Amino acid sequence: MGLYLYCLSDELKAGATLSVTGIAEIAPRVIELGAIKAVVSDVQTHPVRVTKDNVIAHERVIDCVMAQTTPLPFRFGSVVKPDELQAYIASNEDRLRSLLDRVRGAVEMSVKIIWDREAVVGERAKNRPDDLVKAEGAGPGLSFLLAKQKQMEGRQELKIKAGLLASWLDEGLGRLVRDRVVTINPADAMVVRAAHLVERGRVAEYRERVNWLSRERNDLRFLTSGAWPPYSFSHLRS
Amino acid sequence: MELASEPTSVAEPEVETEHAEQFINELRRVTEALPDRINIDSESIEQGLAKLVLTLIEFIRKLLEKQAIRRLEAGDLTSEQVENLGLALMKLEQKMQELKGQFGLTDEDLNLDLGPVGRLI
Amino acid sequence: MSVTDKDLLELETSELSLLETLDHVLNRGLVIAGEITISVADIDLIFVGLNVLVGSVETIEEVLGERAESDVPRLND
Repeated sequence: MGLYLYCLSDELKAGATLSVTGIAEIAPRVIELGAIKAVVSDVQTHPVRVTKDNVIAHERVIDCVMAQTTPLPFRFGSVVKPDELQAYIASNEDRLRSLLDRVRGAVEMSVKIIWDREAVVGERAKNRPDDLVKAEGAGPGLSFLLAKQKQMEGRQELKIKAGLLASWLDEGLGRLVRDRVVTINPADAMVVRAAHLVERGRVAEYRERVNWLSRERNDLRFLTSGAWPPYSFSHLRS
Repeated sequence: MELASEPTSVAEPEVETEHAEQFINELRRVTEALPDRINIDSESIEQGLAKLVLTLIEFIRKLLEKQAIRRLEAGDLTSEQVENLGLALMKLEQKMQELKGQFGLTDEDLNLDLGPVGRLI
Repeated sequence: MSVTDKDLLELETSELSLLETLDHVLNRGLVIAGEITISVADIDLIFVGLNVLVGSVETIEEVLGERAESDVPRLND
């Protein structure tokens, strides 16, 4: 028996009810812990399993809050006792309030980009003049190292191109984005995963700009999603 | 001009793409790579520890490979040293493949996200 | 569009939707309670509930000088 945590906000009214149900069809409620209010519901089981129903319920509750204000969402599966929640908020109040200020009036939008790694490394191999490969008389040890060297150069190429891609996206969006968290994985097909904090009123403009940018690059695949609660901008460790 | 804090109605998040299948594949990979909850039974603990230890060894091994290449390029090793270094690293790679096999771990399993250092593989 | 195509498209859409949701709610957001940090060889192992995540890479980079090599513009952090 415990409290399932959905999100925190300084703009909700304690005692308010939401029009949707949460985990296990239980209605969430708003409780007050000083300046910060928490949206919670009672749960019997812990841990709360990662099932489709539970994940949808978690998101549904926070989306409902998002209609009124931008909260700081909890990660899925946070179940605590009331005094633990109290302690958490008390000891992190300043940081939480500054996070709330940072996301105020904005939403999180996501852009993910898939690229063709073969094509990226292929370009380099084509442009490359003749190798450092000392072909004749290379023993197995040297051959091993030379093969690794080639592999590493390929990876380095991917790393540089991935960085350039992320910069291109960022520059293309400019001031439409209040803040961003970008993950770059040069070795993966899904090379860039960006979370953007966008003013509510500018979401349509943002979507259009991303579409426009994506049309510039036929060699890439784009996915846009949103609006999300600011999951990527809700971390206490700075 | 709208006030930044004026709430606009926000519906369920939408997902837009012209390449759903590719993104489904990639996102599945990412989701499956998330660390599992550790079960407290001895076999799982052993597995969990093996994974952790092997990941750290792989990390170090790849750094050693990088170091070796740098020295190869710097040209400050004799051909005999280069050959021995290469052979040693080759054997280390083979040994790691065996160990991974023994514990039923793939390169994906060992690919913990190390934040700014990035994924290992 | 035949009925089957439409059904497949809906399934695909809802799977993608779920995967995107998972990507947001499982790995990000506020994290509370049950965090114990143990340091092993300059690497922090953070136990969150019963999950193990490896974090705090700054020390690894300092020791091994990785970041100095990279001329890639960094946008995370």
